[in-house]
Amino acid sequence: MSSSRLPQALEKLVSLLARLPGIGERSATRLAFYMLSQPESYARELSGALVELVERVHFCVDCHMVAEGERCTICEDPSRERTTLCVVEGIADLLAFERSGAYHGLYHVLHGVLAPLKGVGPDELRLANLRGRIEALGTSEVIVATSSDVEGEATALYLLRHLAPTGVRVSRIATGVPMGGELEYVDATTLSRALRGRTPLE
Amino acid sequence: MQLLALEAERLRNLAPLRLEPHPRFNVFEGDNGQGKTNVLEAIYLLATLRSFREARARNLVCWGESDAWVRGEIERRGIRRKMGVELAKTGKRAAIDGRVVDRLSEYFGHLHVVVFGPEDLVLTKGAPVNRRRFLDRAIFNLHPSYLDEMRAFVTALKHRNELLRASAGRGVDRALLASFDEELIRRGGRVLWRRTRFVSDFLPVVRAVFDDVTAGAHAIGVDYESLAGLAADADEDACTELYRQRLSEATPSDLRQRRTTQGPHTDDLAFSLDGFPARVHASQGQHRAMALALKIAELQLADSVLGGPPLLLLDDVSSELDRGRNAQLMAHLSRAAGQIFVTTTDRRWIAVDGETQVFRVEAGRVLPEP
Ligand SMILES: Nc1ncnc2c1ncn2[C@@H]1O[C@H](COP(=O)(O)OP(=O)(O)OP(=O)(O)O)[C@@H](O)[C@H]1O
Ligand SMILES: [Mg+2]
Ligand SMILES: [Zn+2]
Repeated sequence: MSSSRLPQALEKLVSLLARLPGIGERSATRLAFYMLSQPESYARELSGALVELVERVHFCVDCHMVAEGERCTICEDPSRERTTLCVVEGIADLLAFERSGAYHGLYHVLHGVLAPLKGVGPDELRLANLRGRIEALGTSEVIVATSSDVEGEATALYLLRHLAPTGVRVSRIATGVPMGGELEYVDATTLSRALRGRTPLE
Repeated sequence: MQLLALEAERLRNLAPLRLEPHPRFNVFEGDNGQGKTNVLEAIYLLATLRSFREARARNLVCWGESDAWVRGEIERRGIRRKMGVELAKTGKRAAIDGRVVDRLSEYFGHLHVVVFGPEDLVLTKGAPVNRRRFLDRAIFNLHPSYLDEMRAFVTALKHRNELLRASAGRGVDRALLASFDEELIRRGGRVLWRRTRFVSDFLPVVRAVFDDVTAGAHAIGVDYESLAGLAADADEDACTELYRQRLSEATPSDLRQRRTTQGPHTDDLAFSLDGFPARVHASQGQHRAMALALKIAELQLADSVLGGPPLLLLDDVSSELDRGRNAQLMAHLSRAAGQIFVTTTDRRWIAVDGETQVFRVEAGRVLPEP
C-alpha cells in the first residue's frame, strides 16, 4: 500500500483515523474509502457531530463523567444520595452501575487505573479533586469499584492510603465480579449483589 | 482419559493425519526426520495450545502455508468431547464441541498430557527457569486457575519492577509502591502456596518412581528452594505473611538494585543424587533418569488428583537409556495405567507386551501396521 499515490486529503484522514484505539493503518484506509463512497451528506453530518461533540460535551468538573454543562446530570440530580461516592475506572463502568439501578449515590470517574508499565501513575488519574469533593460533600462512604485484576486492586489500595487523611470509610465491592473480569460486561444482578456484599478495605 | 481420534492438517511435515490411537500403547516408528515427534506435537498442541519444542505454536504451521489445525475426540470420565485448535495468521482459535471459546483458559481441563523428550535434560541440568516452568505446568495441569494466578503475579511483579526502575534519580512514590507491594504479596503468596503444596505431594512420588526406574541403585533428593523460612506445610496465609516480611526486608536493597529480589520468580528445585548436588555430580544417563522420574511422578500425581492418568508422550526416550534402565522403564509403564504414545527409530526398544499399535512414520505419512 503506497500511500503517496493517494490524494493528500485522503492521506490526512487516514492518519487521523489510524490514531483511534484498535484501528490500524489498514482499517483506517478502509474506513476512509467507505466514507468516500457514501453520499456527501454523511461526511457533513459526521464532521458536524464531531465538532458538536467537542464544543458541547465536556467532563463534569466534579465527577469527570461526560456532561453538557459544567456538571453532569448525576451530580445535578437532587434526588441522588450525596453521602456515598462510588469510584469507577471509566464511564462504561458508571453506565453499568446506572443500568443495574442498584446504586443511588454519586460517582467519581478516574479515567484509568494505576499501571506503572503503561506509564500511568496517580497524576494521570482524575484524582486531584477527590479529597476536596469528599470534604465538601461530607461523604460518609467511598465505594471503590475498580476491577479485580492487579491494576484495579492496586488502585483500590492506593485510594485507601490516599483517602486516609479524610477519615472517610472506604469499602470495596465484593467479588461476585469474576476474576480478571471487566466490570463493563458484568450483568446487573451480579453487579448489585457485588455492591451489597462490599467489604471495608484494609 | 483417552484420545479416541486425532486429525491434523498442514501441521509441520505431516501429510493430512487421521488416526485412531490404541487405548494403551502407541508406537511411532520411523527413521530420523520423518515426522514422529511432529505427531506428538499435534497431540500436545491439542491439549495445551502450545508446542513443547517451539516458543511459538505458530511455527508448527507447515512452511509456505498460512494456517494449520488439529482436532481430536477425547473421552474423560465417560464423557466424549471434540476438541480443536486452529493456528491462523490472525492467532490461535480453540473450540470445544464445535464452540469456539472466548478465553483460551476455558479450553483447558479436559485433556491432560505429560511429555518427556530429549529437551527435558534441562530439568535437572539447566537453569532454574526450566524447573520453575516444570513446576508451573505441572500445577496448572492439576489446577487450571493457576494460569491466571501466575499471570497476575507476573503482572504485579512487572509493575513493581517498573516502579523501582523509574525511581532512579527522582525517588519513589511510597504510597504507590506500597499498593503494588501489597498486590505482589497477595498474588505471590498464592503462587508460593500452590508450589509448596504441590512439592510436598510430589516429593514422595518422585522418590518412589526413581527407586522403581533405577531398581533402587540410587537415592534422589529434591528440595524446594524458595523464601528463607518457608515451611513445607505452610498454608496460604503463612506464605503470604512470610512473603510480606521478606519483601519488606529486601525493599531497601530492591530500591538500590532497582528490581525485585525476593519472590516466587527466584524459586528453584535443587536435585541431589546420593546426597550430592546433581547438577555437577550426575552423569548424562542419570540426569535422564531423574528427569524421567519427575515426569512419571507428575503423571502419577495427576492420576490421583484428576481421577485418571494424563496421556504420556515419550519422545525418543529409549535410545538414550542403557538396556537395564530401559527394561525397568518398560516394566514400569506396563504396570502403570493410561494411554501412552512413544516415538522410536527401532521398535525393539519398546518392550511392552500386547496392547500395542505400531504406526510407521515415513516422510510425514503415518500408517498403522496390521
Ligand atoms: N514448519 C514445518 N513445516 C514443514 N516441515 C517441517 C516444519 N518443521 C519441521 N519440519 C520437518 O519435519 C521433519 C522433522 O520431523 P520430526 O522432528 O517429527 O522428526 P522425527 O521423526 O521425530 O525425527 P528424529 O528421529 O530425528 O527425532 C524434518 O524433516 C523437518 O524438516
Ligand atoms: Mg524426533
Ligand atoms: Zn458529575
